[in-house]
Amino acid sequence: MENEKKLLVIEDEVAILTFLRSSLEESGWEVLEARTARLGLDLAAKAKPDVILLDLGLPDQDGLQTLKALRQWTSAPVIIISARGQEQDKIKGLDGGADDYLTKPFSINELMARLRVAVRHGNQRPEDAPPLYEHAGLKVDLVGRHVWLKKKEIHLSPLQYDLLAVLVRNAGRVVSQSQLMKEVWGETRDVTPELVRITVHQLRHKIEPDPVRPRALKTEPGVGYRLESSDE
Amino acid sequence: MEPKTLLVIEDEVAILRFLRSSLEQSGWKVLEAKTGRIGLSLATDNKPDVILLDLGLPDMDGFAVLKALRQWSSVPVIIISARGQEYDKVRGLNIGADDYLTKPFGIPELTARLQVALRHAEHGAQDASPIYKHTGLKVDLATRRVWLRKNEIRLSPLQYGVLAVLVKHAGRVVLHGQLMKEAWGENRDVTPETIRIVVHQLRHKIEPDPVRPRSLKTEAGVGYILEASEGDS
Repeated sequence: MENEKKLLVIEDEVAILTFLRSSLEESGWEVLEARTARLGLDLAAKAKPDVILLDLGLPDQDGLQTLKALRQWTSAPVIIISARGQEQDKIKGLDGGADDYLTKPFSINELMARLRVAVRHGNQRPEDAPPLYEHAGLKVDLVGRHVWLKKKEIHLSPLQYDLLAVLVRNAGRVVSQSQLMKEVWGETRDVTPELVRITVHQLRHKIEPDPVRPRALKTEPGVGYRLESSDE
Repeated sequence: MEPKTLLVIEDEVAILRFLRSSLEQSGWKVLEAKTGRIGLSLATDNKPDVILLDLGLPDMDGFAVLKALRQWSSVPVIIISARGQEYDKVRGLNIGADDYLTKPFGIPELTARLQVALRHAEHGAQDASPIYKHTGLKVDLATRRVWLRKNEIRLSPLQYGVLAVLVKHAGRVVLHGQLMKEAWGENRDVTPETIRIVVHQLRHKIEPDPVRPRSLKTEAGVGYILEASEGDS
């Protein structure tokens, strides 16, 4: 018997939740429910589901925002389930990091087949970095998007935060300049190595006690940058 | 960015033409196969990054093509089919397709799904854990060290190079051509015979019984496969 897989459903329609729970539990899934994005993000961090089903029309947040927040720290497979069947929505969802997009109404059999595909992909993914990073007085909470230096919360621009988040996800490993450009700025063509350097420079002034002698965010000359591993 | 290769196994010329013109514009290199048989052979020879597979092919059922592919390749496959029935979708996804798109579909959605497929392939190829373990063989790619039954063993640079390529693709067949390219680089005069010799030497070092290899298997006529690392499910 296969291990029971955990599914997190972030969806506010009770009828759909009930329907999903009854059909999926029967076929061996453990189903967790969250009716708001906030609860969903919280459960995703605590319960580490194998797959996440995400509705786009949530009461407290647009689902695409929720997806973006999830992708800051987890590569768990996400399947969007939405009544919005427009091509534009699908593209935004898939480009935003969703693994699949299913338009409501969908059949439970197709959903189950797509869940199995998601599990296959999930098995191959690298393990998520722990969502809480701590080193040399720097603390980053990828789930809540908070950053502290010596217990004082500090404010970063979205770009500075995104760059830091990429480094936290790869803590202990060198991240090349081109990888940073791609992950932080996306496919935009008008990002230069100079811009990366400037953003790192700004970031160091906020997160390093002594920006000239960085203790967390190190430069690997000619290669890229490395954030020291998180303390145990 | 180097262009990604897409193999389209599809017999309708109108669709082939349509896909080629739209996808080449967005930087894909498009290969075409109008039969399942040609598709399988192109998939072997050209190592596409993604495959689009039609179900209604003249010579073979699309499901059979998919099954054959999955014998040796984990390349992402997106089925494109006019059959929008639940039964076909479930069957296709269950036997190893990564996605299923019902015709007619828009190019923007296809492009977005192709990007998803590439993301998945990237994860697969990295095969995250840098320590490889299988039946007593242990390889640490980060430090370039190799052990057999806890004893460290020494390999020549070439032997290590071949082993490292196989570890990176553990669980999947590495074709002769690919192995030559990745282990020797582009411009060396290496023959299939050289590979056989290096693999032979390697087996004597990493296999408890080189004649009955348990990790480094030969896929006759195709290439080599190193069994998947233990602990990777």
